[in-house]
Amino acid sequence: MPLTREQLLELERAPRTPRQVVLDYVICASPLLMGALALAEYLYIPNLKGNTSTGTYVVFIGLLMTALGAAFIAALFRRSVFDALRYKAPFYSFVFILLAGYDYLTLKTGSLMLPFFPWVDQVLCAMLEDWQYLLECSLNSLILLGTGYFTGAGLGLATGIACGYNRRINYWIAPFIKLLGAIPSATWLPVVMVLAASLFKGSVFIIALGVWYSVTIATLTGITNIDKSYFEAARTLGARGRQLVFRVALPFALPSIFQGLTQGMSSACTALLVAEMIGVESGLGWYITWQKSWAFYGKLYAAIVLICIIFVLVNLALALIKKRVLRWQVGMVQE
Amino acid sequence: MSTNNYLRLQHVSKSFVRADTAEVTNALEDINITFSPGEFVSIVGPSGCGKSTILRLIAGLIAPTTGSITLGGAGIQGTDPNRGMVFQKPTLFPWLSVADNVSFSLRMQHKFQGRSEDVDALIRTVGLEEFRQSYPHQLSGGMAQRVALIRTMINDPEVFLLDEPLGALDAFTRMHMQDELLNMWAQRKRMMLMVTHDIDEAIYMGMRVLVMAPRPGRIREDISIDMPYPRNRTSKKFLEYRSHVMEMLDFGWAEA
Repeated sequence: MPLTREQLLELERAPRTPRQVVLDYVICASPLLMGALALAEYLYIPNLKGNTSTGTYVVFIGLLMTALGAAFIAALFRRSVFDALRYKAPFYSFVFILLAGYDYLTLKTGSLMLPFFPWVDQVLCAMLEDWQYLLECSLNSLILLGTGYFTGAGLGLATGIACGYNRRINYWIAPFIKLLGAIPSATWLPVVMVLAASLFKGSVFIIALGVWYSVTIATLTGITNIDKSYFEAARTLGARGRQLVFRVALPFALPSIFQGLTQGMSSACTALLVAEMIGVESGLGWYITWQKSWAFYGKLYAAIVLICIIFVLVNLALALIKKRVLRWQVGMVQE
Repeated sequence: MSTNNYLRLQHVSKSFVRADTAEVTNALEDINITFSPGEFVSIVGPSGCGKSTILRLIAGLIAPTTGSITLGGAGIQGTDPNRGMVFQKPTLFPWLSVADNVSFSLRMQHKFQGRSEDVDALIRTVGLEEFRQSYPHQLSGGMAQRVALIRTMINDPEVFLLDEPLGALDAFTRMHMQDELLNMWAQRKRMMLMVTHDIDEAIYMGMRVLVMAPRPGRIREDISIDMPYPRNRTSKKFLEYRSHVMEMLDFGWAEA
């Protein structure tokens, strides 16, 4: 009867004293305790005069606590969940403490300068109140980001492969790539906004430029670093011309290309916000400047939170694609 | 296949420009050899004697400076799956599974249709059917080199060039692989040319042993090994060949 992975880990685990076991359970439950503390702080400490609060924050903390409670119950039955929770619980507790602390400094005492630091309840309410508008802005931002990113990545891949494969193309183009790459893409913004047929196209250009540069360089580096023996082996096996590029050089360069794609994503996110804050009249960047001019800081922070969520998700998606495409690297020593 | 597909090297020389001094060195000078179909020939010599260069010339990876190389009367132009080569490093493509590495050559020639059975059969002959879907970095050195062998074998090449294929393996795996290679050769009777720096290996495996000398690279002696397979590594005759080759390479002991 072969052991399961969990049974094996259990067998080899150092024996724990009863005190350690109890402590483990306490630590797993601690986020719930801290959550209750945060709720108590919000409900029972009186607000600073003039500050108003709603039940939204209570629901928010309540939802977080429900999730953690469910995790705790699951942990009682499954060892793997328990281990994961035991590892993460101190951090979750810390988050609740931060929330409570921030709430105390803003809503309760006003120690942080108002209105620049709205309390969490205010941000949550702004998000709920303006959700349709925020959704529309998020979509616009995503469309702009996606169009710019994929244009840039596609062109970068093409340029990189062309330069990596053909010396003559490399001779004529590489110096320009180096020169253009030295200029941060936002520099072009004023010119592009004047010249471009539409603000959208102009912004696509700005976003694509940064992505194009990093993907081109990464592809070129990946292809030039190829071990020549792979080419020789492929040639003796009957590969020629284009096959050497697309079936040997390109797969070899993929890890490097993904580095370029990741780097390109961060520059694309920067360029997106700059473009929206300066030129384009839609999207979350524009929403932020617009709300700032009305001094609606709750809405401003709501947009920032959304930007954070969107960018994290976009990068997560990229990381997942990378993991899938480069699955042949799993377990390989990273150079 | 016709039996007169001799591989001939006539007055072949090859010079390289050295990367550091721009000086031209003669890696090979006036090489004349003929290899018969189905022959197993070992090539030994110290490093720098141009033994790998001979294989790379025959593979078509490089062109000779002067002279001609012909297979079955036709001159060699570039690489061809009919002249397969196995290198000291397995050079398996890390992004392809074992099965995809083995079928790589067929795919490149657009001949894969209906051949997946052959691929599986070859993988079975080297006992790696459990590793069909593994990636190269998950294999041991011996397993990787077996895959490299059958990756070339899938084309059933007329000429099989082996550039120190067992050089990076440990002694036990190595002796095991020598027998496996001889088995493959016995089954197919294709011409095999193997470069090695191991004298025992050269005598154990080759019908002929070419002993080479460096600066400029040339063939010092062409020895026919008159022993039936499988050979006994410790027999008197084997040891006689061994000391003879040693002497040729200037490592012999003077008779006391």
